[in-house]
Amino acid sequence: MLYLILFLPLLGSFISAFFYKRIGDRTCQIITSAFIVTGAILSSIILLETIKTGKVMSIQFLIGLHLDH
Amino acid sequence: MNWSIYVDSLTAVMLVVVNSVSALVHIYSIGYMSHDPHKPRFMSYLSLFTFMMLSLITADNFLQLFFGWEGVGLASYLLIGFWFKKETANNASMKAFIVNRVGDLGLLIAMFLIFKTFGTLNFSEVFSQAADQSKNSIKIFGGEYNLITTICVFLFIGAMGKSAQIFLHTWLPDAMEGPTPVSALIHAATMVTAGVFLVARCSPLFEYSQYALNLVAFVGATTAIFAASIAIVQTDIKRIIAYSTCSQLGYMFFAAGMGAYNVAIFHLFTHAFFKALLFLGAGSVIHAFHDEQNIEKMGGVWKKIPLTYALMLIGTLALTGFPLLAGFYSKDAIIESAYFSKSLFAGYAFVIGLTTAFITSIYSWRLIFKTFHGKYNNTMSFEKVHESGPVMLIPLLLLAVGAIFSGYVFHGIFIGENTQFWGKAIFFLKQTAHGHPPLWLLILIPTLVISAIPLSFILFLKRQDIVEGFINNNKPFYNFLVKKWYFDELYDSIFVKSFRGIGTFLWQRGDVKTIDAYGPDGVAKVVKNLSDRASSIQSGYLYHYATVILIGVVLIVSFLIII
Repeated sequence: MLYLILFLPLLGSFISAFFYKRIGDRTCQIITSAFIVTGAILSSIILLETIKTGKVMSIQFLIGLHLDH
Repeated sequence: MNWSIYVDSLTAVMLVVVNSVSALVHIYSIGYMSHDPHKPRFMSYLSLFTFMMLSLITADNFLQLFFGWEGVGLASYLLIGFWFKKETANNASMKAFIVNRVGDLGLLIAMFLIFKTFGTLNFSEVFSQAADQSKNSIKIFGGEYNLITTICVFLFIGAMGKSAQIFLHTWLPDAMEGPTPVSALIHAATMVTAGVFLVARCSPLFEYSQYALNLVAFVGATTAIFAASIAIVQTDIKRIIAYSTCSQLGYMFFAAGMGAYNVAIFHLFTHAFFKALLFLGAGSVIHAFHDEQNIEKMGGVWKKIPLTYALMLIGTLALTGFPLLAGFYSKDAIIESAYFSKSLFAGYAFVIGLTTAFITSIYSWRLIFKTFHGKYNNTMSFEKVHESGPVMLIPLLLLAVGAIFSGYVFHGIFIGENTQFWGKAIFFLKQTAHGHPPLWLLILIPTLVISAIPLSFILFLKRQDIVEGFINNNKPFYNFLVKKWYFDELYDSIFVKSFRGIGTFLWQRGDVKTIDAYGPDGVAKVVKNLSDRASSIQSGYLYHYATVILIGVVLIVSFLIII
C-alpha cells in the first residue's frame, strides 16, 4: 500500500511525459488523476488506521548509498 | 543510507493533506486547462510534484527529506513557468527558484552540522542523541555557539525559504503567475507547508533550544501581521490569497514557536482545505471573467455564478475563523497557545494573533464584496460571465466539505487535552500549558471575526468614500502597503542591482575584454591581420613580383658572398 501511495504519482508523471503522443491528452489526464485519487483513498485508510491503532509503518529499501563519517 | 517510506501520525496527516488536495487539483485541472495545448506536460509536472512532496514527508532521514525538498522546488519552478512564453511567468519562476536556494543553503548547513556532530542523518538516531548534545557548543568564525541552537536556526532558515516567511517571502506572490491549480496545490496547501512540517518533525531538536523557538515565534508572528497588512490593499484576487497564505503560515510558525507543534499541524491541515478551496474558487471566478484577475474590475456577479459564490463564502468563513468552521478551531487554538505560553514572545504573538485575525476577516470580506457584490465593473459583456462546469465545481464542493467539517471532526484527535494521537512523532520536552481560556477570550475572537463582516460591508460596498478619504489623507502609508513594505525595491537595490553589476562587469571586462580578447578572439584577429597583410602582397602586377624576386635574389647572393 505504501509503495503504491509513493510511486503511483511518479508512474503517472512518467507515462504522461513520455507516452502522451501514443495515448492522447485525455488519457493522460485520466491516468494521472486516477493514480492520485487512488493514493488519496489509501492515505485516508492509513490515517484512520493510525488514529485507531497508533502504529508506525516503515519500509526501507537499499539504494546503495553509503555515507561514511 | 536507505530509501525509506516512514509513516507515523505526523506523516499520515500530511499524506492525507497532500494526496487529497492533489487529487482534487488534478481533477479540477482537466476543466481549467481544457483549452491549453500542453495538457500532458502540465499533468506530468503536477504528478511529479506530488511524488516529490510524498518523498519529503515519508523520509526517515535528512538526505531523503532534502531530495524531496529540492524536488518540490524544481516542480514549483517548472509549474510557475509553465506558460514559458510569458515573460512575467519566466521571471517569477526564476525568482522562486533563486529565493528558495537561499533558504536551502540554511537547510544544507544544518545537515552538514548534524552529520559532523551526530555522525548520522537518520531522524531516530539524531533525535535520540539530542538531549546529550544539548549542552555542547560549536565554534564558528571564532565565536562559540550552542550546537542545537545553531542547527535549529539553520533548519529554520530553510523552513523560512520554503514557507515564505518575512525576508524570504518575496517569491510567493510572484508565483501567482503560474496557472491557478498550481497556486492551490503548491503555493497554498502543500509545498509551502513543508517548512512547518520540518519544524514539527525536528521538534526533538527545537525543544532543546529556547532561543530557536523564540526566533520561530517572532518571525512567524511578524510574518502573520506583515502579510495581512499587504493583503488588505492588493487588487489582484490571487495575490490577496497568496498574502493570506503567507500570513496563515506565520500563524503556524508562531504556534510551533510556542511549543504547540500539534496545533501548528492542525492549522496546516484545516488551512489546506479552505485555502485550496479559495484558490480554486478564485480560478473559477477568473474563468468566469475570461482571465480577469483585478477585483476592482469585477463585482455584481453573485447571481450569475451562485455556486462559485457560495463555495467562496464557505472558504472565506472558514479562513476567518467563523464559529464551528475549520479555521475557528485551529486559529483559536493558536491564539490560546500564545495566551497560555510563558515564552519570551508569547505576549507579542498573542496581540498579533488577535489583530491579524481581525485584519484577515477584513481583507477576506473585502475580496468577497468587491468580487461578487456592488456594481458590475468589467468591460466584458455581463451576459458572457458564466459558471464553471462540473469538473471544476465538484472538487470545490469536496474541499468545502473539508473546510466545514475538518476542524470539528479532528480537533479532539489532534489537539484534545489527553490525545495520544501524536505518539512519538512530535516531542514535547515540557507539557504545553493547557487550560480553559477565560470567557472574555472565547467571546473576543469570534466577535472580532464577525464584526469585520458589517464593517467590510460598509467600507468596501456602501461607503467607499470613507476608504478613499482615508487613502487620500494617508498616501505615504497606503503606498507603503501597496508597494509591499518596499521589500522588492530594497532587494532590487541591495542584491539584484549589485549582483547584476558584478555579473555585467565579469561578463564585459572579464569575459569579453580579457579572456575572449586575448584568447580565441585575439588569436583569430592576429591570424586575420597577418592573412590580410599576406594577401595585400598578392597585388597581381608583374613588376611587383619582379621587384620582390629581384630583392630576393640580391639578398640570397649577398648572403652567399658574405658566407
